[in-house]
Amino acid sequence: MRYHPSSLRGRLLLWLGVGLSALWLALALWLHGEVRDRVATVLDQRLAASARMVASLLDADSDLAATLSGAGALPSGGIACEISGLRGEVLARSGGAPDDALALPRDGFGERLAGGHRWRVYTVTQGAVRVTSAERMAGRTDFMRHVAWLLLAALSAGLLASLTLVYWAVGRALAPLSSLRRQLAERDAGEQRPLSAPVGAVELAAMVATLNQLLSRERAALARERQLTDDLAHELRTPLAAIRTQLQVAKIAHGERAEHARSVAEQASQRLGHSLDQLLALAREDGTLDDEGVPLVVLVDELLEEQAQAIGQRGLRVCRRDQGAGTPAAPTGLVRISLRNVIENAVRHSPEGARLTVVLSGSGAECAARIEDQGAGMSPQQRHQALERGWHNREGGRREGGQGLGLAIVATVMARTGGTVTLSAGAEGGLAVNLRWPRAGTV
Amino acid sequence: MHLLLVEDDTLLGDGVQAGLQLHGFSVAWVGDAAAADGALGSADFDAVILDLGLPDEDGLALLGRWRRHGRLEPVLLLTARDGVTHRVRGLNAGADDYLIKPFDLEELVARLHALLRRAEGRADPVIEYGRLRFDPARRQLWMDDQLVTLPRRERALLQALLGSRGRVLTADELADRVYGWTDGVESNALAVHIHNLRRKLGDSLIETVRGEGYRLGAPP
Repeated sequence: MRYHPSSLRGRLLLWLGVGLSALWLALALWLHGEVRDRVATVLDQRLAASARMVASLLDADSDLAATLSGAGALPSGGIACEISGLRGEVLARSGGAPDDALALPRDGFGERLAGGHRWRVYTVTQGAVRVTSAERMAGRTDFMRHVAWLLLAALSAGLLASLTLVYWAVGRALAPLSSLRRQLAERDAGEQRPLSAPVGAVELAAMVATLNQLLSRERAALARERQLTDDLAHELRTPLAAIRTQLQVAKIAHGERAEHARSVAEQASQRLGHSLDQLLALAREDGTLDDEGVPLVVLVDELLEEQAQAIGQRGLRVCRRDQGAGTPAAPTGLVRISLRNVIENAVRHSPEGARLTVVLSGSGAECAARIEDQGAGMSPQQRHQALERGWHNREGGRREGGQGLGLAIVATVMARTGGTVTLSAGAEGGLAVNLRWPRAGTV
Repeated sequence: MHLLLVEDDTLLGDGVQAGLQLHGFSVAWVGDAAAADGALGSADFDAVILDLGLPDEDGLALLGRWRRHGRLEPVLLLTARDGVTHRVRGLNAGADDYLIKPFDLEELVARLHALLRRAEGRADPVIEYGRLRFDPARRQLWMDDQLVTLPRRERALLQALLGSRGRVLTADELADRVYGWTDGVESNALAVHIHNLRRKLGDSLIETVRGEGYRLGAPP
């Protein structure tokens, strides 16, 4: 199983640790080999020098052999010396030398097993004798083991120190990330200030910029939601306040005044009911694109059918033209809500016997519906306000009940489906509402 | 008491105006910020009831503008927005009180009386003047512990004079307070009401200031 550190610091420490350990180990192995070779060479040179020195002394003093054999035991680890004849008979040996012969059959370095120990030997021929110097291998091995232990200790200490340094350095290097994390953690919801890129981390600047874009989109979405909540509160609580006030007036007033108050309360309750219906319709749609989509013309015909009774009562003439609108690339339920609101409003605002025009068209990557009535219409300022805050048709500055949330919902829903809504003056007075969606099959 | 109601919703505005009139206030009702500006510029009001959601300007912006221009009328906000931040923002913008829709008519009336009491610098809800004791909230008047019943207009007239603290009120100002804007006023109606008040409460209570108007006279 592979180990995945959960933090950046852990990841950096792991990989730097593995890398540094490998590096230190390789260095130690190389150093150990190098030291071993050098030490062996130096010791061999000492061995050879000793043998040659004895040989040169033999020339000058023929009694040296006797002297040598009386030299007694050499200290352990020291160099032993043996003088032998050319046929291998031992003439003299120093103390510490084994009883077995040490001399090699020819001059030079070699190894021998003698007296139960391994020896490193050097033999040199001087006239009729061979001089051999020898040293126990065990001494050399001990020395090299000691060197290895020293290296290991140095390596461990060095590795530990490096890792500590790396840990500290990684912490310092990642400080900008920690500061960014703190900034994010200390942020309140809806805070306006953008995140600042931490000092000394150019690499983070792009990420911070992206984060800021995301945050600003979040803020805008939050502001839209708040505005909608405010509008909803206004649309629901104002008629409720009107109902309550009028009923209280009806209780303390008499005659015509009380009657008027009751009738206004009823109007207000109708408006409240209408707003609630629209809200519930919106709540039922979750806005997911879960189907193939329904052609715009089919939706419009369904909705006109729904409104058939109201259309009949008012004696409206409906003129519906489809100029190849196609299918909107948006959740059908949401498209239906927008269309229903606009068609309902148009029907309600049409004078008796008027014409209601619905033109469906498609061009390029877009499909559109234009719903036009012959009602009183809106002034340019009213049209602007109607979409700005989603309020509808105030005459003389006062709202004439009935529209409530209509356009507020249309504007919100259109934004959610990636479409747009615009209002314009109708060709024959009235109001024209233009709805546009991206077209299915082109996105 | 003369109130300015700024409310764009016809159904609610109609109810509040009727309800307050039934409680003895005279109410001028306008539907947008521009009309409210005009009304405040042309008449004196004892208090303003301001809806925050107006079609042409945000109610808070309007209130802020009034306060910056030194308008001191007590303002009660009506709003559907009930968050703490909204209430705090409203009060900081210069509102004196705050009522969230839907509200109770009785509560609106009580708060208005409290606002007016504070504006007139009184802690006691009952106004005492010599032997007279007047309770605006209960709309009751006593003369020496004897309950005096006054018609609505005479009561409004007396309240305007008691609240004026000796200032001279013009006939127009008094008419505003007694009739509001919607009721038709006949030219000598005010004089008749003053005559009736003098007859019931003593001649000295209301002084005529020739060429200017009327003033609260010596306490009975």
